[in-house]
Amino acid sequence: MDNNAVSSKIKSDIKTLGISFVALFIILKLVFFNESITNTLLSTVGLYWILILPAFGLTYLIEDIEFLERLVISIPLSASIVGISSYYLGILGVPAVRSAYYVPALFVLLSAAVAYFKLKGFKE
Amino acid sequence: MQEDVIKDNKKLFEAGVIALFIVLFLFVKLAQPWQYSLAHQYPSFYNANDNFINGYVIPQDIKETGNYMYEPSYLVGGYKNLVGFFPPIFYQLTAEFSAVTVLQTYDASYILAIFISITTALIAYFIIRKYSPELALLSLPFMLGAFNFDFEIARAFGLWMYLTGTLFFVSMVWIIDRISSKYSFLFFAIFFSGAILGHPPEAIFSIGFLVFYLLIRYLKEKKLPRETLKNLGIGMAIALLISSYYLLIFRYALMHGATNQYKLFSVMTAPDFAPNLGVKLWDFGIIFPVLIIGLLIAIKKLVFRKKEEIPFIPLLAGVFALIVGYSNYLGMGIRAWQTRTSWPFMLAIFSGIVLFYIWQRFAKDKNTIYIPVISLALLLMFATLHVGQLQGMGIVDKQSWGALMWIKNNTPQNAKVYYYPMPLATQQFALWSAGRVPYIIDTDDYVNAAKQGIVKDDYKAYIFAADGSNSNFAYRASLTQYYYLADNASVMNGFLNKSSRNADYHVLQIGGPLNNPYISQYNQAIRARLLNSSRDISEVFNNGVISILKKNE
Repeated sequence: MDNNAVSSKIKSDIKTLGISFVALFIILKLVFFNESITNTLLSTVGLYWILILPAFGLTYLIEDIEFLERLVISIPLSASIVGISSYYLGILGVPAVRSAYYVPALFVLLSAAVAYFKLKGFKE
Repeated sequence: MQEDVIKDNKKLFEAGVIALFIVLFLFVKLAQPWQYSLAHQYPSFYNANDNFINGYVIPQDIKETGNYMYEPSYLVGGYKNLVGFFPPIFYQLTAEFSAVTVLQTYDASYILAIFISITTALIAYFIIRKYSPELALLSLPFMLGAFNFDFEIARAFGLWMYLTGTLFFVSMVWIIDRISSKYSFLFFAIFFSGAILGHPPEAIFSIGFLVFYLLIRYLKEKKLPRETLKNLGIGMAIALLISSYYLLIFRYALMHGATNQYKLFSVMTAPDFAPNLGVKLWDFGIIFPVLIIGLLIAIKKLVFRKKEEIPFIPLLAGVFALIVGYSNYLGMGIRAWQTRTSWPFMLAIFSGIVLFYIWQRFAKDKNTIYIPVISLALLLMFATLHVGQLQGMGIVDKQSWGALMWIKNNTPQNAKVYYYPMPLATQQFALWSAGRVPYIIDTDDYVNAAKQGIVKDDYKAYIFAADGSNSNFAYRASLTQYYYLADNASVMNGFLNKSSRNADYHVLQIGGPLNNPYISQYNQAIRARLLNSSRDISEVFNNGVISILKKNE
């Protein structure tokens, strides 16, 4: 893909990711209607931060899947890489409550880079 | 242009059906028992031991200590630095999800468990969808299916590590279906190591499925592509490297002595975690006959048709899940029974395939526009069967939890806390929530005295300590050198023959809706005797349901 196409694809997928976030928030608020907006929003943020975003970019390494499948398969990917990394970092002395912020952030950046270079057609 | 419009509308319909599935699943499986709230003042709908250890005790300890290097000492009779031996992923994710959302750990874990369950179903959906979007849409409602509590115990009884393992098992099935693609080895490695550190039995079942798949594929095609084997080899090597640290713990701690648990061809006729709630095929209720017809269709296709002509992987996975579910007759014990709780997800394709053939035979021009409508209607129909089913607050109430938290926040770490018979103590893992070694009053001694109308000065007791499925209190001296405190008779005997006379704190349930009124009455008599005794005991906590007495120094 050329730069314009890559940029366009990235923008489109980020927009769809945003829509999916809003959709999940609405679903949670509808189902758990006795819960405050703040807690519902935090829960949605938590689910995306820990279980979706860290590995979402990695899913671009598989070419024949569409957005929804990409979103779903990023969950076990994220669960594995965040869970395992945090476990080992804990043993090395990094507290879990700190890992909760740094580990997903690191993998969001890494997997975004993977997605960018894959879309651009980067060849090793 | 018109084709694009139709394609976009189809995607929208599909997204709508998936969204409705998520809404209904959340509504009937979690929102109902949770009074439609996400945050609670105490663990809500916690029904069994595993809820507490998986949902609060260990994740909370990880939050407080920062890691899961060692087992919490109050779990193992007060011994420190015993190696943390349970598979860590669910605990680690719960601790971090709780930290980020500021939800209590006991709520965060339940939300994660349900979310993991939903994701497992959706991955099973996409496994089918690769072959036929229509078949996937028709199978999806059966993943909700007819209500039977036997299918709910993995969620309701806290088998959340098993749910994590199953998530990675279906993910493995998903990537095995793409194993010849370029970067599949990376996904294989991530999912396989997730299974090992999530719940190792599902890692073993994943390898079992892989072997099953390769065998059937070889029988059909008489060859296996080199690219497939190469990707599998690289993925396996990476996963084993990533998991090596925990695999050693698994081998030397969790599996120590566990070979006695698994004996080939031994039979476990009911799951020991819920003997009356073992899943049977006819638990599918009205779906059962449809499922059987679909199973017969599936077996016929797998045997007689070429791999390319059928939804090969989803049918194979369904048959494999059935075989694993019945391996309780082959020595797999509780692991087989646990697998059966995921049958609604794994066997949904058998019901879906029956509807698919009916649609193919009778639908005019095979118009696919009706498929999402049928799927929506079935989802709504099945959901109504679940409404009103999962209710109740579980085994802990606000007052009991308040007492446990008071103990956690107001007593010394090495306090001897004695628990007299109460509803919460029937699920003894719950008492670890207080973060103290629990001393449990011997029920026989208590009941015998109560029957005779005697209030004694001291009651027999024992320390409740986890063995962790035969880890035998493993102490790690080096990576491969372990010592087992359970091999020392004096250690094990040290948990027995305790006396309430030595208690620092006495915890008695004296009221409350969950308690037997006779127990409340007898506990009140014990409380009165202790307060009036010469042992300088005073009451330090009383919320009308639980009374905590402290021996003054």
